[in-house]
Amino acid sequence: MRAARVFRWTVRIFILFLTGTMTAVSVLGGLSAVQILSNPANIQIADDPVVFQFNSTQPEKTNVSVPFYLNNDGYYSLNGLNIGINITLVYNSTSEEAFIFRKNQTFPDIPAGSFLDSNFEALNGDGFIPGNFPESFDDPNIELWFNISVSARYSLDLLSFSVNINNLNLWSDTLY
Amino acid sequence: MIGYVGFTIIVPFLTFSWIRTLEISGIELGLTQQGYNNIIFWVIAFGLLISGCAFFTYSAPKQSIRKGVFALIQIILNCMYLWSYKFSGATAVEFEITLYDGFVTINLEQMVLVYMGIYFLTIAIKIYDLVDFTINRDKIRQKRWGRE
Repeated sequence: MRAARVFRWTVRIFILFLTGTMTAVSVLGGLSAVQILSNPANIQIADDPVVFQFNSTQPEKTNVSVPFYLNNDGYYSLNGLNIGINITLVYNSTSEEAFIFRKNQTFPDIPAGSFLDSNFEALNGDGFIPGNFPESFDDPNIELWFNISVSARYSLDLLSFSVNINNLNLWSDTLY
Repeated sequence: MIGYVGFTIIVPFLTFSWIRTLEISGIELGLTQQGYNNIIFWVIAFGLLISGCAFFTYSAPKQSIRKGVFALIQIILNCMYLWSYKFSGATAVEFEITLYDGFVTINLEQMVLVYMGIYFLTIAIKIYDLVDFTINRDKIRQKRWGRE
């Protein structure tokens, strides 16, 4: 009976340790989310100008640049931050659609207590599909619709999240 | 038992009700009605079963086979409760972004799987307890009633 009791208590203490650790990780992850999201200054599209330069005749001069700022005010490192932007060209008259831009960019991990001041960039035609470009981007008959996705992992990679915004028309929708 | 009711029913119910509508940086997020109903149904269903089982576990005599059996059933129900978070959709909580055509998904599957791993160890120790209580039944009874 004595050996059985020692074995049982050893396993129980081990399980208690694991459960306690996981509970602490969960609670700290929740607190981190509250700390990061409660302060709007922690997630910003930076003051630098957002660049959308489209050139239908010279695709190599087509650029997209979206500066952003992320402050990881939580207790864990934010890993695997990935931002993706798709741009769809829509012809109002025919409702035809064509992808003209598609790019995903992965950013460095943001350790706890530090920040990332970076840009989502697609310069000199990178990510663009010139074959689908219209004759002119000034044509009032066309609209550009954006699909934006942001994903990352948190709490020792035990949880992941993604944000998807579809069919955003930057010329008519106001983005916070 | 009251603790189990609190942790398996009341706390999750209040948490999911609270996060049903969230506002982050001026953008309103809302848990979908269908998703909310599914999650609450499974959480309450398994929460009631676990709490009921906890009553029988803790009311049974110490080191008895009845206690061992109910403790094992309770742990298996706990596993199913955790797994219900997966098949009710709560491991991938989806919020609609009210202002735009969009959504936010929070995936808790890895965390649930780690908890399942811990519950597997707990099941192992409960099975060990049950075997131990069965093999040493006479010794335990003698000790319980003060006979040698």
